[in-house]
Amino acid sequence: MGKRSGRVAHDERQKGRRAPRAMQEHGAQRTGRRQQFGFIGWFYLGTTVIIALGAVNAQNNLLFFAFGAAIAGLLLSGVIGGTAILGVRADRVIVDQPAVGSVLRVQYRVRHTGRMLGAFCLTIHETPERAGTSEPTGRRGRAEEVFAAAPVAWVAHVPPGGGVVAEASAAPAKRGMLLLDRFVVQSRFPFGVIRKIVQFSQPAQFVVHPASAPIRRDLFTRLSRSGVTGVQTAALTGGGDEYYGVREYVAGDSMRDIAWRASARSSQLLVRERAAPRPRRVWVVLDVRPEDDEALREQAISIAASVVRLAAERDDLAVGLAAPAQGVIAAPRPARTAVRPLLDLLALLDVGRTVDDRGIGAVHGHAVIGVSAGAFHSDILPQGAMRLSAARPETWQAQAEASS
Amino acid sequence: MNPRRLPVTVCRLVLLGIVLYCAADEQWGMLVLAGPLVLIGWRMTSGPRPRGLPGWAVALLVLAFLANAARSAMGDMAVASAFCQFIIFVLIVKFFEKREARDYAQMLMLSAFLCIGALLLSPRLLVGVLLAAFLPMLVYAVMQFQFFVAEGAWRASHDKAHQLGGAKAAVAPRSGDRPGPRLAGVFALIFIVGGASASLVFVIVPRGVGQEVLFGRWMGYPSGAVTGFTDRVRLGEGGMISQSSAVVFDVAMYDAENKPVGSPNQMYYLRGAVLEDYRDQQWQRAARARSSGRQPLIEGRPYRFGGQIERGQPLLQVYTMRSSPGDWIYLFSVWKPVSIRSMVRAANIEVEPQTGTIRVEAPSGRFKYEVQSELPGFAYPRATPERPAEASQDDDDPDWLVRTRMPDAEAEEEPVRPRRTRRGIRGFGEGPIADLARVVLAEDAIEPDPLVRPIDQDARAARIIERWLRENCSYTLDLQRSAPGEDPIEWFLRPENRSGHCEYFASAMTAMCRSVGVNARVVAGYLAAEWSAQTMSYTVRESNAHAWVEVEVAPGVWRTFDPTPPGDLVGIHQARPGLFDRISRFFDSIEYLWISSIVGFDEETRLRLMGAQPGERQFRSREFRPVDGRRVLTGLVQSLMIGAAAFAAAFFAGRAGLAAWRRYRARKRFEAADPALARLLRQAGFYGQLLEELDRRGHGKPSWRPPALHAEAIEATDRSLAECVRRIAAMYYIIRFDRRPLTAGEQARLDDDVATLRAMPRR
Repeated sequence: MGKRSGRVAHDERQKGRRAPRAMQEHGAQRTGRRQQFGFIGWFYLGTTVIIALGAVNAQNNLLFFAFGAAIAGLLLSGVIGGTAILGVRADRVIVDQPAVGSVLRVQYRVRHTGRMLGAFCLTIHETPERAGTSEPTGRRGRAEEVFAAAPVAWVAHVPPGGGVVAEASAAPAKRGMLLLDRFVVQSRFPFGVIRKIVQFSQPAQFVVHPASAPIRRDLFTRLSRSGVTGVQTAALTGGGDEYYGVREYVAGDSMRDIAWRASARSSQLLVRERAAPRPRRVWVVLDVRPEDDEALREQAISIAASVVRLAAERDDLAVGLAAPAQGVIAAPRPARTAVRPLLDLLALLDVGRTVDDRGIGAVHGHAVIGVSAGAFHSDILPQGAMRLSAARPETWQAQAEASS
Repeated sequence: MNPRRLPVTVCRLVLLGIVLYCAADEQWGMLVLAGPLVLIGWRMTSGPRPRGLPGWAVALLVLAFLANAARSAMGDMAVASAFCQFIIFVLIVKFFEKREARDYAQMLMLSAFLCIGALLLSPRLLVGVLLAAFLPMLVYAVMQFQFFVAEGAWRASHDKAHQLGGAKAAVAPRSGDRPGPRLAGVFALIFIVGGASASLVFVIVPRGVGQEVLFGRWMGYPSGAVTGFTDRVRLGEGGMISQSSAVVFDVAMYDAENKPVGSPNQMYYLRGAVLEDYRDQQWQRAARARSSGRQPLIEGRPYRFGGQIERGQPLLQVYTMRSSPGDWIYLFSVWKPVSIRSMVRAANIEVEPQTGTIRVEAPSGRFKYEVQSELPGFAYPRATPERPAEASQDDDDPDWLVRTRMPDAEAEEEPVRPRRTRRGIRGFGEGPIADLARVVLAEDAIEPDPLVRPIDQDARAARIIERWLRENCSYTLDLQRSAPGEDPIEWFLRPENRSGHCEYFASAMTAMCRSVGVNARVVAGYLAAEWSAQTMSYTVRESNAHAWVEVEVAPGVWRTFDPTPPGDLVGIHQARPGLFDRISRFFDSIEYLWISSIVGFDEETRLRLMGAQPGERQFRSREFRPVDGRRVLTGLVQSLMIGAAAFAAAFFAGRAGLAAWRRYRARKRFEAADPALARLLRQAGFYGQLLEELDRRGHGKPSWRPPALHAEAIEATDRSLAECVRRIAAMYYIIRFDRRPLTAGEQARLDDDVATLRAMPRR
């Protein structure tokens, strides 16, 4: 479950939604149980009727026995399968942070409360009609719209009174808010005639981050070469080179840090403290508009997300995000801690909604990486800013790294 | 249950289905053709680089097979047979095609249809045995298919997600415990409950309703029958007649000097029912038959039919019925009964003087009675197997002229002799039968016209017809059904058929005789042929049931004729002492059980099982007894218990057999892989004893833990036991890993350790 920015949380409170973390903690509630015949079931029934008619017509006792066996199969299919699935309980657990283009592991903890038979050959999947959505507007979509590969789990056997964990792999299709509600546990065991279905409800929502784009890994090096470093000292002590002050010696301080002169002056042992280096501030400015090509637009968002992820691999960067057209501004924070909120912002970015361009003067004087779908719509980027265009792969793609 | 083994299971199932069809239709050539093709196809399309037929070729082949099946069905081939062959060809093609889950589903379905088609073709025991093997395998394959489909869906989703996500696929699903042992329990449950439910449905579904209404006759195979005495000879039914070796009674015969009569080469016709009316394709007792009414039969007191031995020889027969059903039953006697004496308490007796049939209300269980008969001569040479030809030529022997009327009946009134007309007697006038009979008689210069022919020529005419049937018709116990709408006797006498069992021969002779004005009737009874020198008696089995003909050769004088070919008659009825024949008789008895209890299960049996009294058999009470709910319930419970027990026994026996076979195969493989080690390990039998002793003491060794480690594991709880286990394990390691036999000293120490282990107290 990802954290979300204050703005998004506010929007969802406005829509009366529950907080995702609270929803995740709730177990699944069984909401229904039903049996479906399906094509195979009707075919089986039809064959049984034909056998019966043939037996009556021919007074063929072996056919009468076959008819009896077919009826027994029908009864057993209903009784064994129905009884077995009656005691099934299940919960859903999302293991990974969902992101477009990456595998989302979904675990289903399946238990069986029965004492006799246990359950066999269970498959678990999210219900298609209410699987979730990737649209930031909250509109629900079908599973195949939400998932490029919908999660399907399989359990060979749940012993009576026991439990197992079944794992499914899914691939989200779009960035945005993933709403999951109902999932079904079903079985056709033993004969495939009747499909026994138990439905569970476990509402949960997850932010699906944008896909990763194969960006060149020397972006920040090139940014340094351009002369805009943005290095500042911080108001905190740390392992930097600049002098910060002195303090009393405490056991464990290095002898090399002792300020002998100051100690002599104050007649107590003092040590020098150095100021911590403030990370370089980098702004990622995303310039996408509704009129841009949708694929390029999403590609631009992926590039921006990839820049944020790349920054998170370094300790010396603080990353901020600005999407002027959508009114999104997130001040730079140390990249490791900012990566998740920034990716949430990018995931939920509603490019269809535009606001009046607010000034992004805050970015001036800092390193800026501009990302756009095609050409930059306005001259919002400061001089010296790096410009990455989704329409021009040579500006960002890793394969172009060697040639440039 | 490994879903990935489904292709192998389906292959085996299809092969078994093909065997089932071939056994049912006796098309073993199809097995020779289809079996290898299936295996070749399976081999080609499985493995790392499968090659299969393209889709258009498959479609083309299926269409061609469909056209061939339609052509065959419109020709001479039975529809069910054409249907099964079409399915087999489609299955073969499916094996040459690359297969997915859907294809396996189709193959399972086609195999099930093939099984149903085979059931339509034959009721033989072999078919039943193969069906008993096919059904569990089908159930297993269907269950395995469920796992296959579910795992396939999971794997497809998993692979797609990992393909899209650019990550490697996970190694294995966390999909739960191995379901093996539990699944075996479910499998057993399915068989016990399913078998019981199927038996229940089998029993409660009424029979005889809607027969041939829906699809006519094309769909039904001949249901078959079992040998046995009946007072209704129904013709037109096809199918295999099972030879039952169940003993019905023993009969000892004595002459006037009380000496035992009989020999291995001498056979006696034991009359039971006399069938004179032919209606609805069956022979039955004459509607006009008058009985003496019910009269008491007192134990030990002879019941005389009013006369004395006249000019013939007396023959005393002592019958011991092995198991009387406890109702009105026919009593058998060698022609002609003079008196009867029941050796056990009996209730009533009923006699038909004109036909000489006797029925008594016998108690259930063992029933013994004596019959005094009058023979025309001392011996009864008609059925002597060595001289059938002589007997047939002995037309004028006065000993054959036997008066059938009993003295008391004779005193009351003269029997009604059918009037001779040019149109024949009792329904057999003009028609193919009459035409044939006239041709047969004309060939021997006998006048076919009864109004012209002298009455003393009737015996000769009957003899000619008898001979003609023996020479021109063949005996078989496996019949086709007669054509719909055609009289079965006419069907039997058509040149392209002329093959049947004794009832057809007797019926044909009776019909031919009547059609040319010779009065004749069918007699049902037994042929006493199995002579026992030890007991000096004949053992009569169900397989000795027989039908023959009596012809009225003079007014009121009837004579026995048997048109069944004598060679076949002797072959069927006379017991042979060889081992092969005994085994054959054993299988006959099993087949009898199969036919009588399953294939021949009829409404009468059903009603009896349900506790109601059937009203169809005329020699029993026509009244239905009120249904006794308790009796019905008891019967049902008994049936269910027997059925369930039989299924359970068969299932567990099968499982045990399979496990033993697998163990044997594994051992053989192991021995073949490393014969030297296998020889060494024979010395390591003590290791099994060690494991057993550990189990008994509650310290069972898990299969994954080596014995030395297990000794360490139990040391905390039982130090002395652990020490002992460690020493024995060391000996085992010497054999297993040093690959050398134990020395004498080591063996002695080992024996001591094993003895110590056994002597240790159990906790």
